[in-house]
Amino acid sequence: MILLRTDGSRESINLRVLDADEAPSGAAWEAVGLDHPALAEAESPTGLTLANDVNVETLDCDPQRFAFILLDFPAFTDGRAYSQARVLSEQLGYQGTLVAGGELLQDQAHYLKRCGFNAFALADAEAADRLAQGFNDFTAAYQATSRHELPVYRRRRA
Amino acid sequence: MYQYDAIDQTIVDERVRQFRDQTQRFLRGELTEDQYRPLRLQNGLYIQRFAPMLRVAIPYGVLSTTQVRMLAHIARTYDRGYGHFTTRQNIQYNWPKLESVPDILEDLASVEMHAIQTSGNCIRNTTSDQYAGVASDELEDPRAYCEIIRQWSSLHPEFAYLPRKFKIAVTASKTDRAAIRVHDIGLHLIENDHGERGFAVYVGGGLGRTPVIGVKIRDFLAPTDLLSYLEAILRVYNRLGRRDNKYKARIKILVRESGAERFTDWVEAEWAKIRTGSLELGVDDIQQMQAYFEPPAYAATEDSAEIDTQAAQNPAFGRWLKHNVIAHKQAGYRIVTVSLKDPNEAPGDCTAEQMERVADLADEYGFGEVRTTHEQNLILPDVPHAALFNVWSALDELGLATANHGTISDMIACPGLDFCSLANAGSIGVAREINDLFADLDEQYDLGEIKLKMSGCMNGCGHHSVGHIGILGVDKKGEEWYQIMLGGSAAEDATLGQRLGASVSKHDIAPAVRKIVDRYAELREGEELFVDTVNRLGIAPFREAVYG
Repeated sequence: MILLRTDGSRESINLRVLDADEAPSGAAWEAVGLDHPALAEAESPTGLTLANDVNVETLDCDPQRFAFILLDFPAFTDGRAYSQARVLSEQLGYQGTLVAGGELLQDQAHYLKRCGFNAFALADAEAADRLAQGFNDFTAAYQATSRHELPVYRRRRA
Repeated sequence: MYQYDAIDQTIVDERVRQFRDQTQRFLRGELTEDQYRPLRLQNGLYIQRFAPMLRVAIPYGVLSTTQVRMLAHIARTYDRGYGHFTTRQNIQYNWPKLESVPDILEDLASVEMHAIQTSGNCIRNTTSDQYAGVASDELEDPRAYCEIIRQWSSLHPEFAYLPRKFKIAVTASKTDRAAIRVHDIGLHLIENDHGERGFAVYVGGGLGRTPVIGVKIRDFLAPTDLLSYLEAILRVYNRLGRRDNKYKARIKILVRESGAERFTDWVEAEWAKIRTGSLELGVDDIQQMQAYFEPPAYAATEDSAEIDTQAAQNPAFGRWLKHNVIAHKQAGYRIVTVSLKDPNEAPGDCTAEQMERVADLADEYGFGEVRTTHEQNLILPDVPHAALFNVWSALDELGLATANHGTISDMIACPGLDFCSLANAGSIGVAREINDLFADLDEQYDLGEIKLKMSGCMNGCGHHSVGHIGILGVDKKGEEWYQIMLGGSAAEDATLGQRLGASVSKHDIAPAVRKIVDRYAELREGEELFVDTVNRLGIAPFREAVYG
């Protein structure tokens, strides 16, 4: 699997979502779900994966514990994870690697980036190339959404 | 009116470039039909019965004459010389070639227009009162807020893939001409007991398969809180709206299934978290937008004394003056409805030549602005009283002076089976047959206001659920049949019509409307309006008239 970052860099990773009876090995790209017993332990697994119907505003674990959080797009037309990403990065101040997985098309790349995703899990290098092409579809936007933008009405008066 | 700056222009130009690339990838086979469909829909492009249909956004129905001329140019160059104005104040072209759509978008971008989010499961074109800024009964011009909403909702990264489409309407008059309570969000600008202005917020209205009148979830929202509150509603909807069944995916179903109170609690809780962030508008942000909508340089003029003579000498002008001309907030000016309801034409259709001539009139007798209405007419918003006769003469020559505003022949109709691949039944032919049965304008005037609204399928583009008389085309074993609804209203007293009975055949639908109206003429008391008679007596006498 290829991990593409918003800066264009990419690395080959072994992204694994552990079953509930599988103990974390401490490897870099292991994620557990909310039902995994390791969540109750002091030593955090590396990553957390959330289904897109989870309300991240009421998570009972601290997202900062995880080096990465993997959010899912079961279909590119299912936009729930955009809201999850914004709440995690803007309201809960999540600073780690926010990974988008599932069906990701280059036409969503700029939306994904602006909602706070900074990494994308893709099947192969070709898919990563395509997605990266979409990062710069837009150089301007109206809304303040990602971590450092201002809304248009502030920029106009700046 | 609003004018693009470098930010707006960059966004629109980049969207054209992106869409051109998307279309080329599709034509090269790099995108499947399933992948391309949501992308093209988000840019207003449908694949229809005969050709693609392109829906172009007209934000809150306001057009400059430069833009009107471009719409005419597109009709002539890429289509068959006409366009269809819709119930969302937009325009649709029914015959463009898929390959030429990126070029059309580029032409549109050159005059600060686009087709962004005119379809698809995203926030659609914000609509408003067609008389915004000139209405004699409005509290203040709502267009600045519409434009603020347009910018916030355009290419919003979080809300591009909602469970279903999402429509916002804004009005600032007591008389609701924007049908706000049949929108996903309806905003009504009001003044509270302390003399402060803000919005009453309605949520969960909508037409279509399950028509619902929106419920008020907030009595008063300060204008500075507008965007944070909208964002809170949208976030709740994006998270919790149903995605398992597209017929239950609109926000109205979420509001109904969760209960308005619980829904409101979710929104208020989300709002509390984001209210004071970057979404909070400054008073100066709002003022900066309002500056674009300052009134034009009206002349100090008075009503012309000659108009009575002109009307007496030209009865047709007199009729038009009475029905298609209304008061303006500026002395010496009037608002003119340009009727796109010639009985022999499809409601809402307009030729390239007609568009260009209307633009000429708006330049000569106005300030270069034209409006579109959700009732599928055009508006000349600033006509000097003394110029009314000249304007009428010109419109009359163009076939645009049918003096039927507000009458039964000023009907709303979707394109129906003749064009739309969703439709079950035709609308345009039925509209024509009804017009034939009400050919006498004087009879129409006697009948008074009757809002007839017709959709070719239950998606309800023709707003049939809120027509005084609503007609819905249905498919019965491959044949076109029609259901009738009575007593609906899209105005401030928003109500859903009641179904009269079993559907009737294509052969019987126009005569059925005639029978309903004849029964009303028998039963009305004095000058009672059709809808009031229906409300007073219920639908039983009308059922009897149609079904015996």
